[in-house]
This record gives sequence, C-alpha cells and structure tokens, in this order.
Amino acid sequence: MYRESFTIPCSIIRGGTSKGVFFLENAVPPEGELRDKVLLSALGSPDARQIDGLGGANSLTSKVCIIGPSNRDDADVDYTYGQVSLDKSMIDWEGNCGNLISGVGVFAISNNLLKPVEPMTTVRIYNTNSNKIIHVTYPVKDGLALSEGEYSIPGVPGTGAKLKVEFFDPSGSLTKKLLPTGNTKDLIDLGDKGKFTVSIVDAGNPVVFLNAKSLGLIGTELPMEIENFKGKLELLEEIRSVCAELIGIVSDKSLALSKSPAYPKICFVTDSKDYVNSNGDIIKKEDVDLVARMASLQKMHKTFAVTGAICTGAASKIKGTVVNDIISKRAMASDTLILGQPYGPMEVTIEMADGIILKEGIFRTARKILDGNVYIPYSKVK
Amino acid sequence: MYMTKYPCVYMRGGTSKAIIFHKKDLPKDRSLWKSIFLKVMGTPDVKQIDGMGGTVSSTSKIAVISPSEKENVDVDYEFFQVDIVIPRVDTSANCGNISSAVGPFAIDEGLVKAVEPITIVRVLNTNTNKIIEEHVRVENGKAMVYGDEIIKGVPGTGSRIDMYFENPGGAVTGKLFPTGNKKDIFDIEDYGKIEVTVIDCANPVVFIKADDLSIKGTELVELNNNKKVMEHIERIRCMVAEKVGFVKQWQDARTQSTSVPKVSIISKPQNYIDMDGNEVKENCMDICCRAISVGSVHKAYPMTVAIATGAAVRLNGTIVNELINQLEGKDIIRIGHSSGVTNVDIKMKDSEIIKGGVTRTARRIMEGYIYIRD
Repeated sequence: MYRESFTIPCSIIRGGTSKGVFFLENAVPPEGELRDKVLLSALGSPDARQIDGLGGANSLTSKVCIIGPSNRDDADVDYTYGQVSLDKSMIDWEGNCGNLISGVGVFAISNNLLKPVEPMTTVRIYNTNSNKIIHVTYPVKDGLALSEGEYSIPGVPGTGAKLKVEFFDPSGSLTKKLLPTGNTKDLIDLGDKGKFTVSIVDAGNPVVFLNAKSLGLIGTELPMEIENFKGKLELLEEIRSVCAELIGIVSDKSLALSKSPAYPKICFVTDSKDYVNSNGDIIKKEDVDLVARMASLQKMHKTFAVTGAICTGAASKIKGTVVNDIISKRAMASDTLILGQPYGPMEVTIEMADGIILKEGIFRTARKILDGNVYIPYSKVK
Repeated sequence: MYMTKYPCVYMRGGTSKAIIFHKKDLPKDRSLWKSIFLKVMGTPDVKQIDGMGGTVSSTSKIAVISPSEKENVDVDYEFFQVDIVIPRVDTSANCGNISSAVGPFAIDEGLVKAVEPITIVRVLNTNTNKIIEEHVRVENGKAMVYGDEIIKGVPGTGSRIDMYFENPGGAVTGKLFPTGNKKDIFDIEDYGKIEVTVIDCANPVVFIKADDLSIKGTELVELNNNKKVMEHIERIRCMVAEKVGFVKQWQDARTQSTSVPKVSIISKPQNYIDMDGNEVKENCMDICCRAISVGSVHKAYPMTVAIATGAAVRLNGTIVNELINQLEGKDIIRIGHSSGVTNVDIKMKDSEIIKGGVTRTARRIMEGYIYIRD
C-alpha cells in the first residue's frame, strides 16, 4: 500500500538546559546524507520557526542524539550528538552536548540497552563526536531511571533527581590538545576593529575565552542585552572565525560560519561581581568565582553549555589563561569552580594529577518529556 | 514517585503547532487540566525547556477532542492557549490555525469514518460555540499529507484543508453590524471626520480606506514608524470600541481592548513587493489590505480578519463593497496582504453570510505519550 510518510520511534528528553530528540541507532539510517535528511525532516529544518517538525526554533532545542549499544569495554552505550541548524539543511556532528549527556541514561535504560541496578546505576557513555568517556549516575527504581528529586539547576524551573556527570580525560576533545595553539594566550588582530587577547582551550569542547573588558563589556550583561548591542555578535563571530582557522578546525576563517558554526564556542569572562540573573534575582559576588557568558551558533547562549563549563574549569587551572587571570582566591585553592552564568551559579569539579586533568564533574537533572513515533514524509528523504 | 503519562498527538495546523488530546484520556475532573496543560508546555518558563512549548504563542497550544453528542456534528473541539511566562491558560477564543488540524486528527484517530477522496468533518469549537466544516483529502483511509497548497510561513506544500466557519456573523458581539450601521462617520479630534465600516464576522473588524489616511495602502511594517498615521488608526479603533460597547470611554480601549476590534486598511488592487521580497500583481487580488493587530502592521493577514473582509466585500452598502464593486455574486475573494495573497470563500444566502471559508494545511508530526511531573 502506498504511504506518504513513515514513522521512527524516538523520545524527546530534557537534559540539563537542553531539549533533544533521542533515537536508537538501529532506528535511523547509517551515518550519511540519508540519515541527515531524515533527522532534518524530523526537526522541521531548514525553517527558522521549525513549524513543521519537533524543533523548538532555538539552538537549545534543535538537537538530536543517536544512542546504541557500545562495543567498547569501557562503555555501555555509544552516544552521537548532532546540532541541527535552524535555517540551513545542515547538521553539525563535530561537537558534544554536555547537557544532553544527562538524558542518555534515561533513554538507554528505558530502551533496555543496559541492565540497571537499584538504587543507583552508573551509565558509561562513549561520546563518538569527541571520542571521550562520560559517566552519568542515575537513581533507579523498578528498572527505570527516576527523574523526581530535590536538586535544582540554574535555567530549569523546579527540581529533579541530582545526576552526577563525569567527563574523563576531557582534554583535546576535538583538536587532541588541551591548548590547541600551544599558547595560554594568543593575540587576534582584526585591523581597524582592534587586537584581542584570547585563550583557546579544548576540554569537553574547544572554547575561545576573552576578558569581557576587551570587548567593551562589563561581563554581567544578560544575553538579550548583549544581542541588542550593535555589532557585538558580529565581532564575537569574527574573533571565533579567526580562532577556528588558527586551531585547524577550518582551512580558512571565511569557512567557519558555514563549515563549523558551533565549534569552537566563544566565551567572555570577568572577575566575580554582583549581577541580576535572567529571572531578575540578584546573584552575589561571593557566590561565584567568575562571571561568564557564552555565544553559541552566532547567538548568545541563554544559559551556559556544560562542555563550555567543563572547558572553563580546565582553563581556570591553567596558569596564564584569561580565565585563570580573573578567578577568585577561593577557586585558586580549590578543586571546584563556580561560574556565574546568566541564570546563576554553576559548579564544576576538576580532578588533576601532575598537571593533567583526569576528570571533571558537574551535576544535572534530566527528564523524559514525550516518547512515541515521529512522522517523516517520504518526499523529504528522496 | 513516577511521572504520569497521557497519550497525545503533536500536530501542525497552519502556522501553529499543538499537543492534541482525546478528552477520554484526560482526567474527568476538568479542574486538573490547567495544571496538566502548564506542565505539558513547560510554563511558566521563558525557555519552556521542561515541556513541549516552543517559546512563542503559536507553538504553546493545546487542543482537546471528543466525539460529539450534538446532531450534525462529528467532534467537539476545545482550544487552550497556554501562556509562556505566566501560569495562565486562556480559553476565551478559538485558534483558526489549530482548527485545521482537528479534521485530520479526527480521521486518523478513527473518530469519523474516512471517505475518499474527501472526508467532511463537522467540528464544534466549544470556545466560540461555532461550527467549522472541514473538507479533508483522504487516501488509504488517512488524511493526506502531500498536496500543492502553499501556506505562508510553512516551508513546502501540503494537502489542502478547506475550512468553512458557519454563521460567522456576530461571533463576538452577537451582531453582524455591531454599530447598527453599514457605514459610520467618526469625528476624530485633531484629524477630522472619517468614514468606516465595522463588521463582526469571525472577529470584529474596522475597515478604513487607505486614501482617507493619506497613505497608499501597500505599506509594510515600515508603516509602524509613521506615528501620525498609526495614532490616527488607533484613535479610530478606540472610538469604535466605545461605540460597540467594548469599553466605556474610548481612551480605555488603548489598554483594555487591544486585540478587538481589529483594523483593516483597504485599497483597490495594486502592484507591490511583499515582505519576502516577492512581487504581488494587482490582477492576482480583488482587494488590497493591511491588517493592524495590537498596534502594529500584521506580517500576514489573520484568518478571522480575512473572513470579515470577504464578508464586507460582499455586503452591499459597506465602504469595502463600494470600493470594490465589480464582484457581484463571486464567492472567492482574493485578498492581497503583507506577505502575499489569501483567498476566502464567502457563501451567502440572500443577504446573510452562511459560511466563511479559508484553506490551510496540517500535518501529524508525532504521536505517543507525554510525561507529566506529579
């Protein structure tokens, strides 16, 4: 019988401050053009409003995750992450999403990809994008990961079960090196627009760090305000493009926007200050070790990427980076870093030995929102 | 301890998306619905990150469908607009776009018998107590997805759904001509006298001639910057709001009656470039219109205003009919607006508007279970 559409089982899961559509590896075509077409159609891209698909018309909610059993001894499941462009027929498979990692176990356990044990199950995840191992620990009852709990993360209303997310050997996720240029600081010369001191660090994901002052900002501005300053987003993108070329992600800076819009990410920091968060509440200087804002996909990130936080944690431990320059005395002497993001404090733990980062950790909550079958018209995958 | 789950379907209807429930799957106690619907969308939260909401009003919508017990009606449909930052669910109005998803939903879920090639689904919208008749293309027992109908704001094409809003007259005020007249003259301080027509058909709309505002009528959003004209339009709208009884004093309409009445600025067919940069030719339209919605130029043309416009074109004695007078007996009225041309199908009997028709497309995006925190 002729049919116009086919269906694919999937789940919509919130992981941290992101929402993604999760698929089983064997439910979608193998890596390649067909798989991308199917996933673009599922999310309703290209279309800035994603009105005909599951996407939420925002970079935080235009994400896909592909999960399958792992062949590796050190992992239970393989996790491949794709950032789906809103207005282009493109999925960026380069980076990892640290927020959605917290949803991987929810999906894996409910799809019987591993045998959960009560009361706590650690799911060992191999992220294929960054070639890294991440562990997430879930409270389990009656064979299901529980989502209810008392833990709250900035940027998500309400509370949920506290999930520990541990990134092993996070250095060099994309470039193989913790300091991809070999330097703790590099000077980016944009001619008339000025010279900018950056630190490029790759842990979790590659991130370009600047001091907010060098951009003419205080550093505590909220994402919306920054986007309203004329030319700031463009300036950030220009710096990011030059850095993308510098670390070899693209062969020329003019290709950064089209070939690698998501990585490196770019972040600016300032020393701890009181600020008003996106809910209108005051965050106290004493409660954070620095204030940080991040741009992602040519817009300001409404919260903060987990992998960006992991990278900020790493940068804070490297003497001479723009991050290390401004962190609080408390953080200098501690194995934790509390960064003040637009919604409030976010804590990262950094475990080091002999100057090498062994492991970084963060806490998240995750929840399944919807599961079922998504409809894909055949016309979209021809 | 565990989340509760409810079966649902996620659909696009026109340029909106909604979660659609069978009424039988929801708790019998309706007082529980509000809290469930807020959680479904992830409200209150500007990011709606913990629910299905898409952070704008057109993607923060819920519909509840059940087989109807009324004669000559297939399904009852109630619409819920879920706010984003405020924990509020509004049931005062219907959504024309989501209405177009109800027919395909009813067919695909087996609430009406699928008839090929076209299944007629009679829907009672319980928010407005109005009947909508939907003509849905069907193949192999399911609502068709493919077709060549283009909807502004939706990429690609889809199978057309013809929707007829029955007896649309007096939807809000109970009267087709809420002022009692086919034409009214208002004397606006600082601006002078102006002639308008006020019609309540699907929604109350004030029609004003572009000439009388000393504008061309083909302006796009740049008209928002013309403070003098925008203030003139708002003053006229406020005077009408007072006259038809929405507010006691016209000044109050600025804050207390911002969404009704709506305003349409009319002119004869003209060539212009639309918002997407496409050329719109005068011979593609019967009338040139610009809708003003909540103080600014609408980027397209609201469906309810389109129905009122079609009705006004066809009703003798309105300023709209007098401007466009060569359409005697024609049902399909082509309206040129900010983002293209929209057709409305106005069926009349004697001088009564019996149906106002518009065309949309809809698509089932996903089906499954939604999980709700307790």
